[in-house]
Amino acid sequence: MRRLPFPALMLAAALLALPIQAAAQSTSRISAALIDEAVLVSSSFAGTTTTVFGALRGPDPGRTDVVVVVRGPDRPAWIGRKQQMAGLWLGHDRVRFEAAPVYFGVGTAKPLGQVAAADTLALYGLTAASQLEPVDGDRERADIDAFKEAYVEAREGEGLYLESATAVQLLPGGLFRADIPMPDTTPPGLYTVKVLLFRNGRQLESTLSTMVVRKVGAERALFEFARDRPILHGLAGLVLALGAGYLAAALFRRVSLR
Amino acid sequence: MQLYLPIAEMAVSPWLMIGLGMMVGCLSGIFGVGGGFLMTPLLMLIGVPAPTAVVTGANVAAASAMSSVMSQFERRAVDIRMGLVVSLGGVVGVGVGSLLFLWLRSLGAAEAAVRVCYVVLLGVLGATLVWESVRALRGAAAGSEGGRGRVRDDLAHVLPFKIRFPRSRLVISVIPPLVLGFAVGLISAVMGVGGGFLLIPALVWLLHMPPALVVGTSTFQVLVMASTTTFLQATANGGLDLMLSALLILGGVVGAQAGVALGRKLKGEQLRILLGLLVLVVALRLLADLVFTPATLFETSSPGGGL
Repeated sequence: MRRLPFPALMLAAALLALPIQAAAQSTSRISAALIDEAVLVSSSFAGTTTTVFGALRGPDPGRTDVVVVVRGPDRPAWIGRKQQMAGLWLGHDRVRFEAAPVYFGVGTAKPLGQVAAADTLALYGLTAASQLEPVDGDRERADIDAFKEAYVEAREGEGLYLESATAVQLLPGGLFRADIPMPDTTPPGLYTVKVLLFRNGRQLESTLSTMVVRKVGAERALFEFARDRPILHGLAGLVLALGAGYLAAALFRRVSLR
Repeated sequence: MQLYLPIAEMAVSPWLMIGLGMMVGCLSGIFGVGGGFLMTPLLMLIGVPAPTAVVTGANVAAASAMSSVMSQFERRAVDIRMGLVVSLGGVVGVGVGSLLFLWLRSLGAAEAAVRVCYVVLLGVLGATLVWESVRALRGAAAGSEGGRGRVRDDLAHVLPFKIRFPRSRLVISVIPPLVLGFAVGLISAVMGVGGGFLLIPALVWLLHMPPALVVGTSTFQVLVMASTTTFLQATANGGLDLMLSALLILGGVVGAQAGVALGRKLKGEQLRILLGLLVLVVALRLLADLVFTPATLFETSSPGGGL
């Protein structure tokens, strides 16, 4: 990602934040803006970083905690625990989620546990586990929390869920910036970016903006081809395979005859 | 350098993919198998969503098979009529197998049954391939009759509807090749692999085809089956990633040519020993998964991918 010089970024943040500030009048203690409101997934896409800039107002901004949450669209998902039957590892004990965010990144300046109590964090949707929605039959299971935890851990391993205590930097003059990394597997869709202010474990204020991750160029063309014309797309795969096979054989014959 | 895949929704190294295609294509050229049993798990290992891994594996198998079958055609090492009969049985087998799989899955214990059967099948097949071929090689070394005499009194010669397979110099009933193709198709649909490595020993030991034609004919059958699978899966389920396919195919068709050249230097028995060992390795790998405590107890759905 390209980095603008710092003063330019501050200026941009201030300018972008201006309308929000005006609308919220002088009671608002926070303004925040995204540097990029669209992430373009082209063939060279290998992950990105979502950067949020903002300013805190009011007395003693140093004692305020900033929490930035980037949340992707929901998709159905499942997690299975392998089971042993008659000494062999066969089958799964499976839990389905009606909806689980495809991406969930939380950034803070200190460990999330020190910002607020666990209940408060779950209430404001700041923990990944609180965002998982099991299907009706599975919600009542006694061990559902273990499954949720394992699911979050698996996604953290893939870089799709993250909780970073170093993502938010508090800068002098009540300014802050947050850099939330997103891996290459970040699915396209509409994302929300929430900035919340906490003080002494209580939520003070929040702002919400949206961001889109979308495929462009060849990636978009191929995706739409597959979605809109499945029969032609299947045929194209076949032609590609048979054509390449034929061509390779013909080329090698010519080389070996020489 | 990384390249983003539009349907799998992830970035991969194009060189790694070309190399992977080359390796699997080479095996396919040597033995006349599709290589899906290697390609699909390897793709899933690097994080490609399962539906994409399956259909892309079939697509690459079709390309590798096309590449090697062209070379086999030139050497007149393909019995097209036999290949067509077996493929006809195979296509019906895949259709019935898909329904059977749905039914098994509705019973619940499908996965367990399939996995245990698969390990047993592969283990027995691999061991038999190695054992029989070692015996044949020893027999040839001892100076006794190496080649089998022509068999005239087995089931294939007794059953009705005889047809002539001129290239193989066989006049046998059409029923055994059809049933054989059907069985291979059925197994491949239920177990999710191509089944080329099942066909090769069957062509040798059940239909008594001349060994020189076995690899070419099996490759031809793989070509027909993999093409059908690619088209049907891509159309019905989506998941085919043309970008990923193109990279793997690029390696696959070149690897297949190298494989055909390598395979020609080996005797039929040596080939079957190697194939037997390969099948045994896969069987042991699957057995280890069943017996040893897995490193991670949890499995999750793939995060992205699909339409």
